[in-house]
Amino acid sequence: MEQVAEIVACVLKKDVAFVQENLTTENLWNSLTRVEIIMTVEEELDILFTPDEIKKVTTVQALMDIVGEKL
Amino acid sequence: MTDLQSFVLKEKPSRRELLAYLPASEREVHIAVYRNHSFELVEHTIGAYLDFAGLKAVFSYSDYDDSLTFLSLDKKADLLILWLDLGRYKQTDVSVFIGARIVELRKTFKKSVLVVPVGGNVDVEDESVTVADFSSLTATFGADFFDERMEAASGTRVSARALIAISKELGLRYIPACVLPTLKAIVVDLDNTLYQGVLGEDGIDGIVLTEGHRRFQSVLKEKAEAGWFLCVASKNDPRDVENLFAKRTDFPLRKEDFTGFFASWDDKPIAMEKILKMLNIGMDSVLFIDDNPGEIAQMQARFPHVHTLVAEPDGDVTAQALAYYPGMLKIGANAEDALRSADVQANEERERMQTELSQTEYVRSLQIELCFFVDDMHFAPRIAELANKTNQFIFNYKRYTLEEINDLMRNKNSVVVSATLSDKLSESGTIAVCVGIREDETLVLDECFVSCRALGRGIDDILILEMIRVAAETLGVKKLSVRFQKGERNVPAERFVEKFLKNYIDKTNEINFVTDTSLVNLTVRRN
Repeated sequence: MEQVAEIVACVLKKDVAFVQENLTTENLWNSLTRVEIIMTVEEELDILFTPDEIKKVTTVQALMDIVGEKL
Repeated sequence: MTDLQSFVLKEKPSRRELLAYLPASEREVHIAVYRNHSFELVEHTIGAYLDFAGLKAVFSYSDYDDSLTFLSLDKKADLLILWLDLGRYKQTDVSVFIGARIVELRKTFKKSVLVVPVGGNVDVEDESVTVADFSSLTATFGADFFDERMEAASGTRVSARALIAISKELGLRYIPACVLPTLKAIVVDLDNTLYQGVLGEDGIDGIVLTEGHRRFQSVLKEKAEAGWFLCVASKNDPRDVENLFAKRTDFPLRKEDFTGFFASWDDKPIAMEKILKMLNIGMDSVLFIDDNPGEIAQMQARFPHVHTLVAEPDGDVTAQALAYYPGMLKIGANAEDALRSADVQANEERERMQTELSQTEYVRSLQIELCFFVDDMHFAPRIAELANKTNQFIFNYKRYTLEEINDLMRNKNSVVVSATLSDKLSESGTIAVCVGIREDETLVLDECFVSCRALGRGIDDILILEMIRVAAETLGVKKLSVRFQKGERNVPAERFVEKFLKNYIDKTNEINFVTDTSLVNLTVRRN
């Protein structure tokens, strides 16, 4: 999940420590940023999110949980 | 290749790499995006591509508007992108609708317009508007061009991979083509650039024309036929090079495709010096292609603003890099482009004649035909092109768009006089323009620009002063005032103004210059 944290940090333009300190914080991103994160995760990890899963990515932890199920 | 060059032209950068890229260019271009679907995901990944083109874009956005009302239009933008998902329209011929909306748009927005359609094609009759052609992208991606899973969240149905491909097309090709001058000349090395091998070591029969190099040569040949200056700068025995092109008839390129051939044992910057002088262009109009990074570095040290591309062992990779090199996409190309190379080649004969005859005899011997066209919209695209690429002989650096030229021609208080030039050696096409505005009883010369390849034939004064006279006659005035802005590169224009128009700079005086029009055959055509 280190890679997921790095991707989120890159998209949000924050450092990884910030991401790791805010794993369950809501509203870190808007819908467009969420899409940017998901597109980047999909490309790097070669996975695909379903439309329902896309909607559920509201926190870093939720993202990591979905990714964890796919890998 | 340089790191950035390799990153944008050769490699397939990841989304994360593109998102993380920090542009260094300082030249800002303000781009307004008028859209019916989301463009932000393109903006997020376009930075590296624009940076390679020397640009930094500041984007502004309209609301989502299928109707293209243009009510919330950013009129100060340098470029307007119409970013349209044609799948959102029900009408069968959406081109007619978009064409009609562009007519309305043009009443208030005169700068460059780039239509970027996805999910179909658009035909727009307005020559001042560029339409991006993504047919090869859609063919490559097929069904993967769209990905509707994310549309609700992203605001666009274009897939992630297609969005990156679009960023590359817009950042390297279309946006530079709309806001920057196109390059004018391609200067190529020979060994391991146009073929595999070293002529001096492998001999004419030993060098290999690989399939990749064959395709690269074909691309260069097409460029030459389309009006680009193509020159060779090679460290080789000139006799070997002469024999090479005579004997290797399998090469797509022939010697006559080249405007200039500079093969010698001198350093290549010396060849470049001769090329720039022969073509009478600035170094920033040239792309130099060589397989040797050392030669590239030497060229850049001598000519810091020349563009460079490292030729790869695979000619296909070099051809692809050339296709995407900023400044290589020419929009609004016309028949006059193809005249350019032959015109320059004729300069060598003109120079020979000049040394053998007196100045007056020389000019008469050329049998020069000058034709002035007054407010002729047929020439408007070429006039707009010249306005945007002339750097040395230009009075005020006014980079008129096509729409601005059309407006000036329609307005009864302004006039656009364009000049075509030919002599017994070649046709030069449209080479000079003056733009005048009537203020009270005075012609204010708002702009004057001349293609540098037309200067130095001994008729510069006739060409420019008589255009001004025709402009004044058209507007029915007898006084002249000339605007001139000294810039970094318009020294030739400054010298002309100092010599012939000193009495009209920031002053108003009766027109009383005298020229010897008997030296040329001058005709004036009015609509």
